[in-house]
Amino acid sequence: MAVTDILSRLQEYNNTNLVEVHVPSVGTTVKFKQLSVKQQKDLIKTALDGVLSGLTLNNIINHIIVDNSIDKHNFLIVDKLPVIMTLRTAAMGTSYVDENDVKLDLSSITNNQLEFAVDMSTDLDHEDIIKVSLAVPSIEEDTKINELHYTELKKKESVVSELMGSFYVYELVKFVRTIEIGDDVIDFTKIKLADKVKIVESLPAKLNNKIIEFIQQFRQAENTYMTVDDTQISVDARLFS
Amino acid sequence: MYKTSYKLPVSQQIVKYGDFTNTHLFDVIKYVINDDPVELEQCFDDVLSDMTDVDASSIIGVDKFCLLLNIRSMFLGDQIEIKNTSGDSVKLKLYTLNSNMETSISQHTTSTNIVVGDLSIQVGLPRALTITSDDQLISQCIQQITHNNNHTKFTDFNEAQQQAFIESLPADTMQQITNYIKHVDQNVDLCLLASNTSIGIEGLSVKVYDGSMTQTLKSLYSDDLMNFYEMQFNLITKMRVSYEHFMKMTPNESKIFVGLYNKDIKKQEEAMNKQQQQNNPHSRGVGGI
Repeated sequence: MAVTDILSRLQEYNNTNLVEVHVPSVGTTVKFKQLSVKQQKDLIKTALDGVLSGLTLNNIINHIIVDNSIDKHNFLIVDKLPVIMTLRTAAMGTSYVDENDVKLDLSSITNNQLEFAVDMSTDLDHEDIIKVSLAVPSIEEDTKINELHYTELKKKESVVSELMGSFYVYELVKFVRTIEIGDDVIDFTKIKLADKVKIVESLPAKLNNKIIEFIQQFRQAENTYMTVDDTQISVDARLFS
Repeated sequence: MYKTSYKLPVSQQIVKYGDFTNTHLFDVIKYVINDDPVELEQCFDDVLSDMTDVDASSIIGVDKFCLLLNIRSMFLGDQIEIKNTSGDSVKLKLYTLNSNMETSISQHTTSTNIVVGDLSIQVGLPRALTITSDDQLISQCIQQITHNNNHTKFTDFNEAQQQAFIESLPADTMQQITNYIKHVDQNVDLCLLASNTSIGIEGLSVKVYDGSMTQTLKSLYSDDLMNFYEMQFNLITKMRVSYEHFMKMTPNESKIFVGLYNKDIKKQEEAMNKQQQQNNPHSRGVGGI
């Protein structure tokens, strides 16, 4: 059998060897191709990226979700955990030993559905002067911002405290759709990332806190979803090695 | 011209081989001195490809090791000396080591099949003796892919195709491959020599992935380059053997010729001494005072 035929047959198998995942933003199950060896290696290699490993890992997961989904949807970032955890357990089994050498069963995560009791978008009002429209960002938007953020951080040799600050602001930026000040409307989908960052950094602290509260509602549900036997599982390179 | 054959213990393939010549030995000695296991293995592959009817890079590492033990025994002498626990020399026969190794191999399962859709991947012991990276280990352990009873050797894939195949495998298949590799690492210990307390010998064994096979071959094939040059000098300048002829001789043949030459010289010296003594009964012989 020709080598090219073997590679095609393997590709065919990958296209039919699917797993089903309940995707929160779609509200139903979606079929995904299994993790490939290359994808697993890419996930593991992110550990070498030091303080920036979170960003690279996030983007690799985003690419996997888009590349491996059979039915194309505009996935949101809240879909990441159920998809990546199902792909992880399908590839490597449900057993996981954490950094404290505690053996955990990940099936208690994948057997549950991640659901949110809040809307995916909301509007905030600050003393009738500033109105902010928020929405859970899509995976595509998340990837774009992460890439720009990564490039920027690679350019400067920032100290860790500065890096942490920038992660915080960039997370807020991802959720903002529009900001209305009087008659002026700033559409965040149409301006540069650097401008978005400047605007969010200039918002009143009280308004910033309200944005954080909106984001926190999703984070809390995700944290609960990722907790096994009182241990919160982190999505990092270790999970895939 | 192939004169001998050897049945590889893992693949059961019969390999025919010709002479291990001084050309081969000269190359091996240089690579042994260089002390680079990867380059030494490449040299062994080149030598085997030259003197056998198979492509050495496609032979399983353990088979290659046994074949090289067999060739060492055949062309460089079957006897080796090792130090026992008291520091005394103990003579051993390589034939015994090879035979122990073959018995040891027969006690292990040397391959497994992993099914991926309608493909079956045969995973076994690596082709290389020296493993330099995890990626290399995986590609070295994949032996063949079968589809509808059609077998394709993994060595028929070029490097890019091997990489594409491995990277396209589902991660759960890789998990099965790594489980097999771990199993071999933990369980396959190939015994060359059992421990013998009565003569003070500790056991000698090799493992599949840790480079111990290359290290053992390195010691078995190591020879002093000066010895080689001395043998070459004696045969070419004193016995008027051509350089080409010398390089085509086996090391054992060369040693026999040098031995015969030395014996002949000794005889001639003795005859001269005898003649001188007859001519001059008071002389003490050549070099005598």
